[in-house]
Amino acid sequence: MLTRIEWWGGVIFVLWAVLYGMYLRSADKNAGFDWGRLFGHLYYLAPAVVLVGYFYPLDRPWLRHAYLGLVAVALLLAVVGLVQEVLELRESDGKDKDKEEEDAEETGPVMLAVGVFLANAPVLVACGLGCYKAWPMVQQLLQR
Amino acid sequence: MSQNAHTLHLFFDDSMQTKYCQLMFHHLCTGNLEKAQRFANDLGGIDLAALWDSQDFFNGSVQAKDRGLQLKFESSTHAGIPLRLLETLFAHGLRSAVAEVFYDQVGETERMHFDKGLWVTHREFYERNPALRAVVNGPQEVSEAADRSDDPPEGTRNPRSPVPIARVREQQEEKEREGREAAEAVMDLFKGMRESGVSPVKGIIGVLLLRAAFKGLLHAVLFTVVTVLLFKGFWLWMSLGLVLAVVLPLYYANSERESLRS
Repeated sequence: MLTRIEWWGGVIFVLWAVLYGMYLRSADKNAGFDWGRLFGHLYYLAPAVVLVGYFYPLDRPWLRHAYLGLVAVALLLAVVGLVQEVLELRESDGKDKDKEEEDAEETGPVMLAVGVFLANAPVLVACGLGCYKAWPMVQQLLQR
Repeated sequence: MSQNAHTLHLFFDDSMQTKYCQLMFHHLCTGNLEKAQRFANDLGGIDLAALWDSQDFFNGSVQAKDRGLQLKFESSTHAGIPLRLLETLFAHGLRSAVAEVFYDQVGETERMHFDKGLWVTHREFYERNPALRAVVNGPQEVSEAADRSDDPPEGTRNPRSPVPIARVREQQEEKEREGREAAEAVMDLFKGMRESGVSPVKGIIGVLLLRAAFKGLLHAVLFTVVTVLLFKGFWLWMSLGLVLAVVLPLYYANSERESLRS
C-alpha cells in the first residue's frame, strides 16, 4: 500500500470518484473557463484532499494550520454547493407543479434532505471527518 | 470519370539536363518509349519503368518554364504525389522540385516541396531557392504573398524536419501495403464467415461486443490495481475487482448491444 488510507477511506474515495466522474462527464468540454465550473471542481477536490489528510499525522504546525484552512474552505464550498443544489431542486419541483400533472408528488423536505445527502455523501463524509480531526486543533487555538 | 491532376515543377542545375529531361518526358507523354529511353540514357541511365507508370499516367504534357520544367499529367484517383518519379530524378541530377496533386474525388490539393533529395517545408524551400517563388507561383502571387505573412498555400504538407525522399516513399508504400493487407484481412474474414454460414453483420456485432467486454475487463483490472496499491484492505479490493471483472464486461457488452439495436 502506497498510502495510509484505510479500507473504509478507500470505499469513500471510490464513491467520490464515481460522483466526480459523473460531474466531469456532464461538463461541456468546449465551454472554456467558467467560474461555476471552477467552483464545481473545487467542490469535489477540496474534500478529497481533506480526506487524504485525515489519515496522515500532522506533525508540523504549518501542516496543522494548512489543514485547518483546507477544512474551512471545503466546508464553505460544501455549504454553498448544497444550498445551491437544494434551491435548484425546489425550483425544478415548482416547475413540475406548474405542469398539468395531477398526480405529481411534491418532494417533502425530509425526502429532499435525504436525496441531497445521498447524492453528496462522499463530500459530506469527508468534510465531517475533516471537522472531527480539526476540532482539537481549533480548541488548541482557542485556548491560546 | 474522376482522375487526379498532377503538376510538377522540376529544376536542374544544368540547362542540358533540363533539356534532356524535357525531351524525355515529351516522348514519354507521346508514347515514344524508344526516343524517351535515348534521352533517359543521356541523363545517366534512368529506368523509365521507375519513372513513368504508363498504365496509370495519361494526358501528359511538359513545357519549359523560366529556369525549370513544368510537367502536367493525370492519373487514376488512387495515385498520390509521384514520389518514385521524383526519387529517380533526384538520383539523376534533379536539384529541386515542387509537386502538386489535385484529388478530383474530394476536391482537395496536396503539395510537397523537395530540395536536394529531401522533403522540406514550404518556408525552407523558398529560403534555399528564393528565385523559384515567382516561377512556381507566378509573379502576381509573389507580390501578394509579400504583403501577407509567409503562410503556405492550402494543402501544403510540411515535415517536422527534412526527410529523404526515399524514406517518404518507403513510408507511403508501407502505409499502402498495410491498408491493402487490412482490407484483404477483412475480406477474408467476411469470406470465412459466409462459408461457415455466419452473417458478416453478425460477425461485426460480435467483434464490437467482444471489444466492449474486453474494455470492461480492462477497467476492472485497472480498478483493482489502483485500489490495492493506494488503499489498505488487500482482500477487500481483490474481491471487489473479481466481482467487477465479471460484472463490468457484461454491463459494457449489454450497453453496446442496446446502442447497436437503437
